[in-house]
Amino acid sequence: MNVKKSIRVPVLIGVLGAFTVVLGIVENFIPTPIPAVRLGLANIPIMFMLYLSTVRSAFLLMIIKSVLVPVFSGSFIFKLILGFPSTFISFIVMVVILKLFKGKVTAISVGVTSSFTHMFIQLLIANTLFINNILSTPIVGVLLLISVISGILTGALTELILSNNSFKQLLIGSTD
Amino acid sequence: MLKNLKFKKLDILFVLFFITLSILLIVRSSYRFTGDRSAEKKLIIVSGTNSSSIRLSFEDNEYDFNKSFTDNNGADRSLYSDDDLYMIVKDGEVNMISSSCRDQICVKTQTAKNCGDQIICLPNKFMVMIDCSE
Repeated sequence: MNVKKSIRVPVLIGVLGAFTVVLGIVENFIPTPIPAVRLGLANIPIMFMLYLSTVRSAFLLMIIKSVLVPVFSGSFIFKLILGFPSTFISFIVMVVILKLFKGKVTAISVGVTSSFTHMFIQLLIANTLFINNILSTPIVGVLLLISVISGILTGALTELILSNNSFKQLLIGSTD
Repeated sequence: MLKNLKFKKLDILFVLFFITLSILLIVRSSYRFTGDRSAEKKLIIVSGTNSSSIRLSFEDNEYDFNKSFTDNNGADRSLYSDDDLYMIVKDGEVNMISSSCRDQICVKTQTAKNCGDQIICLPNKFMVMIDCSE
C-alpha cells in the first residue's frame, strides 16, 4: 500500500504533464479574436494538481509545461523568454490566492487571477525587451480583457473536472 | 454537467475587479490615441526598445523594412538588415504582407484601418499603430 502511494504522485505528474504539454500545443490551433492569444488550457492540469496534490508537484508540472511547450511549438528561445517568467509568477499568484482564500473562492478566481497575471507579465516583458511603450497602447486592455474571459473558462473547466468524481478517480485512483 | 459548477461571492468580486481594470485600461489608452476622430490619421512605427518612434503619413505606399525608407519629416530611416518585413498601406488599410518570424502573427492579424488599431510583430520587435491624436 505504501509503495502504491509513493508512486502515485510521480505517475500523476507524468500523466498530467503529458496532458498539459498536449493542451499547450493543441491550443495553438484554436482560433481566437486576436491571433496571438491562446486560451490557456495548459493551465488546467496545473490547477488540478494544485487542488489535489502538493504545491511541489504542481511546481514540477509548471516547469514541464513552460519548458516543453516551447520546444514542441517552435521559436523556443522567444517563447521561453516571454513564457517562463510569466508562467512562474502566475503560478506563485495562484498558490497565494489558493492559500489566502482557501474555501472562500473556487477555481474560477484562481484561473482568472493567474491568467490576468500571465498576460500582464508577458506584456511587461514585451515592453522592456521588445517594443518600447507597448504598455500604453490600446491593445493592452483588450488583451487583458480576453485573458480574464479565458481565465473564467479555464477556471470553470477545472472546477467541473474537480467536481466530477469519476474523472477524478480515473486520474488519481481510489481516494483511500 | 453544468449544474456542478458553483460560484462563490468572492469569485464574482474577483472577476468583476479584473474586468473593470481591463475596461479602464482600454478606455484610457483608446482616449489617448483615438483622440479627435476627425483628426488626420498618422502611422506610428515603433521598433525595439531603444529607438524613438517613426512617423509615417497615412497614404498609399509599400514599405520594405529591409531597405531604407523616408519618414514623415523626409529623413531616411532603416529598420532591419536581416529580418524581412513587408507592409502595404492601400485604400486606408494597413496590411502586413510578409514577415521573417515563425509564427506569422502579424500577417494573420486583421488589417488596421481605424484610429488606435495596431499590428505587432514581437519577434521582429515591430509595432505599427494608427494614431489620430493631435
